[in-house]
Amino acid sequence: MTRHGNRGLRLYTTLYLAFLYLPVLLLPIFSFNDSIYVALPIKGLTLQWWSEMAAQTGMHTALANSLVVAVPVAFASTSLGLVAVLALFGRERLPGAPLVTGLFTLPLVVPYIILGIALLILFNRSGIGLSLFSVGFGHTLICTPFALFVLMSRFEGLDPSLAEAALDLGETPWMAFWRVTFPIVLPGVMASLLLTFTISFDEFLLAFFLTGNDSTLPLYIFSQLRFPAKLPAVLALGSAILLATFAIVIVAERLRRRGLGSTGNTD
Amino acid sequence: MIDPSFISIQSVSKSFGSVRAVDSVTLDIARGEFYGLLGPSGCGKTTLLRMLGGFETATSGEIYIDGQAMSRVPPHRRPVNMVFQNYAIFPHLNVFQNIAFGLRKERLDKPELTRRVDEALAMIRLGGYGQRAAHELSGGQRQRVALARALVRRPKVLLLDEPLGALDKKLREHMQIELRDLQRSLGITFILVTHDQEEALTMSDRIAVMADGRVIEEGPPVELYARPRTRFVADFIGLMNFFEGRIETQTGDRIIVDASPLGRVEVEARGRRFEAGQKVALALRPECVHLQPLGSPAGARAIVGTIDKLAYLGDRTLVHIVTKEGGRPVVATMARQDNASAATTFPERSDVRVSWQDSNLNLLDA
Repeated sequence: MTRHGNRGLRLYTTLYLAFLYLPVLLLPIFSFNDSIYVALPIKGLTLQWWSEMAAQTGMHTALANSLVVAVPVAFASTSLGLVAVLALFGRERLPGAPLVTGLFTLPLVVPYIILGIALLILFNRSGIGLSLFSVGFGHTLICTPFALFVLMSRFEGLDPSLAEAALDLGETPWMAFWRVTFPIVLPGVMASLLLTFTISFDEFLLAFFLTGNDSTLPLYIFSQLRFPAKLPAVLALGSAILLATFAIVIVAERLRRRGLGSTGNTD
Repeated sequence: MIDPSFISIQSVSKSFGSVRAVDSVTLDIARGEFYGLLGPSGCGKTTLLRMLGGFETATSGEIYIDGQAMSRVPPHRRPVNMVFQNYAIFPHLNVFQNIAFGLRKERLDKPELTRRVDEALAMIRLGGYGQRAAHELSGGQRQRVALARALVRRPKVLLLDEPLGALDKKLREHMQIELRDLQRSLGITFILVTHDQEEALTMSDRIAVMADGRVIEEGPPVELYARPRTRFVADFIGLMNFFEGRIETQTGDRIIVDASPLGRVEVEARGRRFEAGQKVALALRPECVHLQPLGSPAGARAIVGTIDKLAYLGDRTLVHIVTKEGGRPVVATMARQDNASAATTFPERSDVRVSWQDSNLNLLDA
């Protein structure tokens, strides 16, 4: 009975993992396929699509645009998250902190399409207009809750007497932050930077609504899907993004966890 | 040199919402004194210490340190340093960097900085530990690094928040003596917060016993232990027998009290006035209760009881005696003097003569 149950569970797990990862794995596989049609069986292996992908100037512009958006977004949302967490977990606990935390994280459950329309109206009506700046603004909005979550897990284990000890040893609150609190939460800050960068870099919907004439990498990929001949190169590009994203998220999670052990709590 | 109000705490109160954590406390602490704040948890002693450090602001009242009002002085400008309860060793710095942390503002050159830190390391007998990472330290070492980190700044006052609470018993006893010696040799005023009465008695020159945010009683350890003025302190510090009774007469400082089961005893009023018939309590330390076999020559003050229970503690034995008047059993301690144990001299259920000296009785309000 138990063995049978175990086998069932194993099958379920295998199917579930396949469901999760097989579609994604198709990308890299077909990016090496020597055919413009995405169909099995594999005709042969080629690096043609990868070199074609690397040669597309439109792709280069889109990549640059994505970076121009994602890097400032990562810093902006992490800074906003850090300031919020400092207020929520600082020496003087903010009254109503749970409510404030809830409000800060609410953007997570607002559908991006609603957010996109709202921001679209806002930017158009206010006369600011649409550009990479408006994309960055939208991304900062959705990335800040993630930054907050990552930083919160770091600050929750932080011993408040460490900052007090720094004050006690003659440092101003400002210097106490930079000499004690910041170095201790730095792994969390790095994790937040990497995570928010990734979210902004991959985001399509808000970028679609809020960009002007410049396209970010996801928008570029979407536009390329209209041309069947370009599909394999898009697959190569997708594989490259996939690889980079996985690497960044793994590094971010490692940083976040490594940090958890050294927040000054000895017990 | 004698400056009895080097630190002056003047009707200081602190409320958290509707809770009055510290309730109009007034204390004077002399320069170079080792001062203990003793009380059960939640009595306000830590809040008072944190107000001295500047981490809490008093709701009302004022604290003066060396003549200077502290209410508007932030923690980083106060001439005090603190050893935190969990030591708050900076996890991202090594031992040297931890101790040197508070010396940044002094802008010492490298050799001078090294000299100061090495001096501090030698003081806590951790010479050569400078490059150790914070997480490599044991509990006792962390405690000493926290101490060195605070003392290296040469503060006027050192605040210690339950500094030995996290250590095991042997190490704690060792550190009590070490801290005491260190304080004497440095001459810095130490203020110690503890819930451990033994710790307070061992280390302090004077102790303030706190409960519910107030100072119940203040005095040197010997006085608090031997001559408590309040029932709370008599009960809180050490073991104590209480006997309920009534005042019979007061003639000057001499008072006759009738208390069960002691009978009529004569005690000192110590300046207080009592009415005849007023309910009072008499307190008597177990080590002041003497036990003798029934046949021995009778003194003036003695009653007869039956041994109820013996609790062997190694160096002494606690003896519980019930009297025919009933009530709570009388507790006596018998120090171990030779290999004869209390159990052979006074087996359970045997009758015994219980005697005391009236001068060891403390008259307290009921």
